[in-house]
Formats: sequence, structure tokens, C-alpha cells
Amino acid sequence: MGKGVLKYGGKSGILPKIRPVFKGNPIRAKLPFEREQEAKVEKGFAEGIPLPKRRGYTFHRVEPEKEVLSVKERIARTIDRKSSENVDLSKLTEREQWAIHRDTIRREFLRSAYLTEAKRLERIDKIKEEQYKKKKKAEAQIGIHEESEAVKLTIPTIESYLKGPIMRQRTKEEQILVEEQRTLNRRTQELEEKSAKATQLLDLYHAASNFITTEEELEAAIVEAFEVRVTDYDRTLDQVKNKLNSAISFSNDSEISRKLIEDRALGEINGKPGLETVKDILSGHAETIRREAEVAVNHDKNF
Amino acid sequence: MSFVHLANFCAHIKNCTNVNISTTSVPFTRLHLQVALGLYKEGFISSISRGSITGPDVTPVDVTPDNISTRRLWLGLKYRNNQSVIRDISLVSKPGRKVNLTKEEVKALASGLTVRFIKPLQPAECIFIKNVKENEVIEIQEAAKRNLDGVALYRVK
Repeated sequence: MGKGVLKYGGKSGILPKIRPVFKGNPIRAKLPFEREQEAKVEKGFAEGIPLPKRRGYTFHRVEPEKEVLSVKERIARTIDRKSSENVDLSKLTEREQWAIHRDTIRREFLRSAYLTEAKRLERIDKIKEEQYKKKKKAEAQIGIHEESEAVKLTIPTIESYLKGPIMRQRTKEEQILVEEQRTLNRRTQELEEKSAKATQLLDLYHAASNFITTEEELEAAIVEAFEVRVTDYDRTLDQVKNKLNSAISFSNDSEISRKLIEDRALGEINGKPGLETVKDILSGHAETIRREAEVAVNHDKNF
Repeated sequence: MSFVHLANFCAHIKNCTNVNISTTSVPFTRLHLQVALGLYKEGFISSISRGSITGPDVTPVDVTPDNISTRRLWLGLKYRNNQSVIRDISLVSKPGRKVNLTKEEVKALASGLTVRFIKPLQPAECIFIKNVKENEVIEIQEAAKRNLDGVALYRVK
């Protein structure tokens, strides 16, 4: 046996396809399992699709099944009917006698071939049916797959987490609370921004008292800065230079921070009334307190 | 589902087992829970519990939009003879190369064959796949048994 021959089932070369003994019509009607298999496959031409045309051949939407021609019928048609009966062999020549004899042998061979093939096909059918049943059973079993006992006992909790949503959404009450909180946050922030703006505006207002608005004031300021307080200007310049060159000087910073702390503690801006004081006066709250205090003082004096 | 998050998960587990840490936490997501459950079922980790960034919960806490950012999944890692049970864990599909396996390929892989570039399964090794239809992470043997297809996620040994 040459190399690579086993690949072809131990046969040398590729043999031609085995010709079927029963050609054309089937020898039996389709079995139930075959019909079941065929039912799953869509066949034929769909409605609305024109059928092809060929001379001498009629196309059908669904191909009709071929007529069953059983083995018995085949034998009757091709063997029994054509067998030469009632022939007087004595009247024939030897050659003719042999011809009849040969034909009889051939017919018998064909008969036995038909019967053997029918048996073989029957066996194959049985095997196929069994295989189909097995496959169906296996598929059914796949559908009812069950987890092992260990899995059932140990992991129901985690499985339950996975069944529902991972995160619980807020309830209506919680959602309302969150929205309220958000509104509050937004408003607080807005208030802070507005008060900061108002403070800045007040700061500007206070600072505006020192603004130079007339020519005379400008003259006076220039004279004071460059003629009267020349030394102050020099000292400030020195301070700036020192600050730039050396480390932080604490003397002046401490003064500034003291003022800042005072302002913050008393709610003032550069020693002038702060936003809260202005608000109290504008709303009349300060006046009310003052009157109440006066009433209280007078009441104390009377007793 | 994010392969990046899965890659981070794998890298984190690997880092933890390399330095012999007993418990670790990962973000609390469905994918992480599924993956951790797969590892737990196959015996690669010893425990799974919900918790926050501070530690596992003593009393159960609801997961809500308000606390989701602090929720974590605490995993107990397994060691034997001072060796981590998880020797290696790595992605099969990458963010740029997703591996969709058909039913036949799943069966081939489960029976120890090479499928495309995926090396055959070694003893004590698992490959996890994600079935999109069922939306679950399954071990390849189970997937073959149940005749399922899916995306190959990661392999662990």
C-alpha cells in the first residue's frame, strides 16, 4: 500500500461514485422522521415569484413527490413480466437456448440484487431513524439542563443579585428629597455669589469717597504726593524693593492681616460698615433693635 | 460590556495574587459580578461579598444611585502552599479584537482543540465566554453542554 492511500479508506486511487441500484422512483413512501426533517426545510418557489420555463418540463411551486415503485412492483415489471415462459426449448437452436438461459440467470441475479439492496436500505433506514431519535432526545435534554447540587446550595445569593437590576433606583420620596437638596445647593450658591458681588459693590462705594473727581482735588493730591509726603513715597518704594529682593517682611504684613481679621470679625469693609450692617439699616431691623433697646433701658431706669 | 474594565479586572487580580493579598475589591458592576461568580464556581476564589470602599458590608446595604460610586465587590483570593491558586488570568478577546465563537467552535475548544489563534485548553484551565442572548458569563464546558455560542472573554489557570 502506497503512501497516503489510507486517506482514501485503504483503496488505491479515488473510486467512482457507487451507482444506486434503484434509480428514479423511490422504493418506499417517506418515513415519518424523514417528513419531520423535511418539514423544517422550506422548499419550492414562493408566491409571486414567476416560475422558470423550460421546453418539455413543467415547473411546480412545490415539487410533487415521485411515485413510489416498490421492490415487488419493480420485480414484477422488469423481471417477471419479461421472463420467457411457455417456450419450447426443443424447437430452438442451441444458441437461442443458451441466450434464454443467460437471460434467466441475469434476471435471477437482478432479482437477488434488488432484494439484497432493499434489505440493505432497510437496515440503513433503521440506523438513520435511531440516530434521529437519539439526536432529538439529546436536544431535548439540553433544554432541561440542571445545575449541580453544590451550585444550588452555595450560590443562590449571587445569582439573585444577577437576576434583578444591579442598582435600585431612587423611590419617589428619595427623588423629591434629592431634587430639593439640589435646588437648595443651587440657591445657596447663587446667594453666596450675589452677596459677594454686593460686598464688592459696597467696597467700591466706600472706596469712591476717596476718588479724585475734580481738578482741584487732583492738584492737591499731586502736591501732597510729590511735595509734602516725598519721604513717604521713598519709604514705600524701598519697602517694595526690599520685598522683591528679600524674604517676606512681617512688619507690614502683620498690619494688613490684623486689619483683615478685624474687618472679617466686625463685618466691615476697610473699617467702614459692611454688607450686613447696610442690609439691617435698609430693612429697618437695626432701627427696631435700637428702639427695643431704648425701651428696655427706659424700663430699667423707671424701676 | 467593556473589555477595558475586564482587562483591568484581570490585571488587578494578577497583581494581587503576585503579592499574596488575601482580599481585594473591584467596582460593583454586573460584568464583574458575573466574572467573579464564574471564578468562584470553578474554585479559583474563596469568597465574594458586597461592600464599600472601606470593606465588606457587615449589614446588607442597598445599592442606590447615591452610593453606587462607593460600592465594591470584595473577593477572597485563594492560596495553597504559599502559592496562588490563580497562576495566570488573561483576556482572550481584546478591545480591538473580539472573538465570537460559534457553537461548533465552543465545542471544539471545550474538547481541547485549537480554535483560530486560541491555544487549546490545558488541564486545570478554564475559558469563560459570554452568551449575548442569555446575557451570562459561562465556562466553556458548560457552554458546550448547553449548546451555546458567545464571545470568548478570558482564560484562567
